[in-house]
Amino acid sequence: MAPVMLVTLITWLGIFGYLIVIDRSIKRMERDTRENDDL
Amino acid sequence: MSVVEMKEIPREKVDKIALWKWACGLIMAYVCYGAFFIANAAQNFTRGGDDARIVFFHVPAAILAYVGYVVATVYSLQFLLKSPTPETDAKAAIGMELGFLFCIVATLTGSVFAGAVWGSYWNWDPRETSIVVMLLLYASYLILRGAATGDFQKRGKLSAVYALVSIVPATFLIWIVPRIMGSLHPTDTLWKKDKTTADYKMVLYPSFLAFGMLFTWLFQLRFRAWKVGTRRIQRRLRSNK
Repeated sequence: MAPVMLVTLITWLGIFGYLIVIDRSIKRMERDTRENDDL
Repeated sequence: MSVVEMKEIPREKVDKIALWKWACGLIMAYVCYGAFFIANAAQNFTRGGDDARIVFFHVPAAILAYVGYVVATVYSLQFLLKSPTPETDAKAAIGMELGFLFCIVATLTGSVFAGAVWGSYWNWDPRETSIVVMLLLYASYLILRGAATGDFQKRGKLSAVYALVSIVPATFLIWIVPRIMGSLHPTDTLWKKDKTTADYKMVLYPSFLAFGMLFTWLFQLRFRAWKVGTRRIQRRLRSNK
């Protein structure tokens, strides 16, 4: 069971890491868009 | 089309991720572990009870496949009755997109589960047939919406009406058909006492929570990405004038 569990866990951690990166990128884009609007 | 407003984000908060999102990651990791080491293998399965562990991912995904429809319907109603803004229209469409995504996950994981418990990956059981129709309902919405160009108000109204009309067959297919036609799927396992064993409850309930958080997170991300994209297009159009 351990190898299947590891595959599942690693897949989730990959998705989770990807979501964190996307979340931060969107936040930066939101800030940049807002700053450009203010100029 | 009205101007999409961007909220202000302080510089120091740009790289911070909300606590509940970390909690989502942790709870889902616990579910991945618990599905294999807390829950016991199921009994009386055609191909071995270990495959039953996929139920921890299949059931929450199947419920979210319907929740997507409910979210889209709520925002569609809001669009038609209260605030016909691009934001409300986008939220309704995002509900549909996420519903479609979870519908695909539920179909794939359900097929694996069916192979293990009933010996065949596809049985045209009422619930399996229902999910195929659900997939078609979702796909039709997204294709028709994608094809409707031009006036945003007109597209929003058409999309909202489609969502409101199609939730009726969706509800009938998911909640009523399997109960009146007799399905291979059990219909009361989750809601009746003593139908689910304690080891399964210890993983299944956190799984509902983690999937719910994931749905919220994806919804939020998609909406924020739409907002940034729309705002940038609006600015470009303004500067071209």
